[in-house]
Amino acid sequence: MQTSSSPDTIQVEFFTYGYRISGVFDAQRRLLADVVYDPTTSYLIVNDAYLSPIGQPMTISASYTKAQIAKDKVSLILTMNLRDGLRSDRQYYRGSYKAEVVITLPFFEVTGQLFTSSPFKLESFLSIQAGAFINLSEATARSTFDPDVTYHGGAAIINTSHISCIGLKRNHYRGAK
Amino acid sequence: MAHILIIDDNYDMLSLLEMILHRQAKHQVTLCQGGHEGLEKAFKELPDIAIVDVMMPDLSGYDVVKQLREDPRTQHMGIIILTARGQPIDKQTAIAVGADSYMTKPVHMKELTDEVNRLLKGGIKKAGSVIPLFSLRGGVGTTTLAVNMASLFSQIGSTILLDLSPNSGHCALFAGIRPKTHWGHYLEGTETDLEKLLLTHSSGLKIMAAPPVPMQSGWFMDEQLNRFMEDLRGYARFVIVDTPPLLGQATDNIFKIAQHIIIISGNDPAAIQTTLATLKALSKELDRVLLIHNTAQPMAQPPTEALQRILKARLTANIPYDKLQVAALRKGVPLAVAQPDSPMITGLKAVIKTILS
Repeated sequence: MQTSSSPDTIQVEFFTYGYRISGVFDAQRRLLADVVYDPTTSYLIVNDAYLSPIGQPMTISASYTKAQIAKDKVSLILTMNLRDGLRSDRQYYRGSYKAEVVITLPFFEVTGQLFTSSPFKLESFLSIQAGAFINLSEATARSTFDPDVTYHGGAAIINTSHISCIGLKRNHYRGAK
Repeated sequence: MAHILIIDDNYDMLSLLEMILHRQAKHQVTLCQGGHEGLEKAFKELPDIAIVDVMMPDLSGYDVVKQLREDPRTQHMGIIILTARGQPIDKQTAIAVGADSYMTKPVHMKELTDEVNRLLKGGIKKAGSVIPLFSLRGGVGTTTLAVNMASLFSQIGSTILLDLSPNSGHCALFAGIRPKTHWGHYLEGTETDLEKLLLTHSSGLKIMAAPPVPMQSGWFMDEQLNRFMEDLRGYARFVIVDTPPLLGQATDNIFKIAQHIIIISGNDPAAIQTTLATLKALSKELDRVLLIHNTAQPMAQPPTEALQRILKARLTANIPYDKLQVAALRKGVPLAVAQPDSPMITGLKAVIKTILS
């Protein structure tokens, strides 16, 4: 038995320009990633949102029962479990190719695994991305100004328009799955 | 069975934790739906362990833990931070502010109960509740009440009666024990194992006696007394202190760590004046003060309302003169043991009920 108030709610960390927002997303109707990737909506709602300045992530500066978050202003979203951060069409198949990448965002340097259906090509990756967001698995975000402060997530959803640099560490072929 | 305080703003989470820790693990559980309420209950009930959420609208869990650690009454309490904020920085912060343990939601039932058991078995430095009895005026029966109150507490849980008198205290003699060992040996450094200095009454009450004659080396220095109290609290659930009639740094330190401060007043003009002066001096601690009037001489008991009007404070108990006490004193048996239903003991039981409630 686990202490979880509802199986359909997930704890999510949002990082926007200057803020860390910890909140609960209600995934009863739609998965978090489906809402984030949906190009027809600009905002998403989180419950029990707690706000911390990026520079003082341990300080809770404000809290709200409900908060609306502008998707285009979010740089990074972290979920503890991988599946909580995946779209419904990627729950069982994420791609046969895995690339270990480093991505720089405002305030963060994120490392993680990027899964793709075809071999990852660094030169064209950002320019041919169809959506605004990409998924990383087993992600670690390190604070630019305080390298001792890190955040981990089973899944990370990254806003590509906030990426200033993407670097390839290793390329793997996982085989068809 | 331990007493566990759970502080979480989420009602569903509280219910779930209550089910795990109370119904299944059989612990006594107190639930609080906010940081301020949690602190209030922690200072009042002094639980063994607090399980604290971090994200709460009125006060963050980190602030709750900080305040628990800053207060001498709760600084030794076992504290588990249980939060949905599961990042490394959150764990570092939880430990930095003083939590013993950090767990992320959702947590498995077994993991939580294991952690609670781990803290109960050895992680927590036990700290008994300190309850000093005090009067600036001598002769109002402070030692008599302290001995009997300690005897009553020893029927509830392990209790030490500490006689802090610098000038030949009488607690041990009131209980019919010769003070062969006393805190003077600790002060001189001839014996630092407090357990060896404790005297045991046949009722089970332990007594830390005062030296039969004043020590040449003087009384406790501030730091010495703090260390002594910290060690002594590890040996019992309740430490009842027969406090000397002095207001100073040492008594201040005792009052700071006290769960409740019992002020004893008589009804002669000098006793009333000193009680008023004491209440004024303890104005910052009034929420923890319990005022008792004791009729120590054979005379009619003054009406409670009249005393409250004069003292401008509520009396927790108005204890009548009890002639049986004289006989008990001669026999060296506390009245609480010899005559548990006597009027004085009935009055003291009401005070203990207030303390425990």
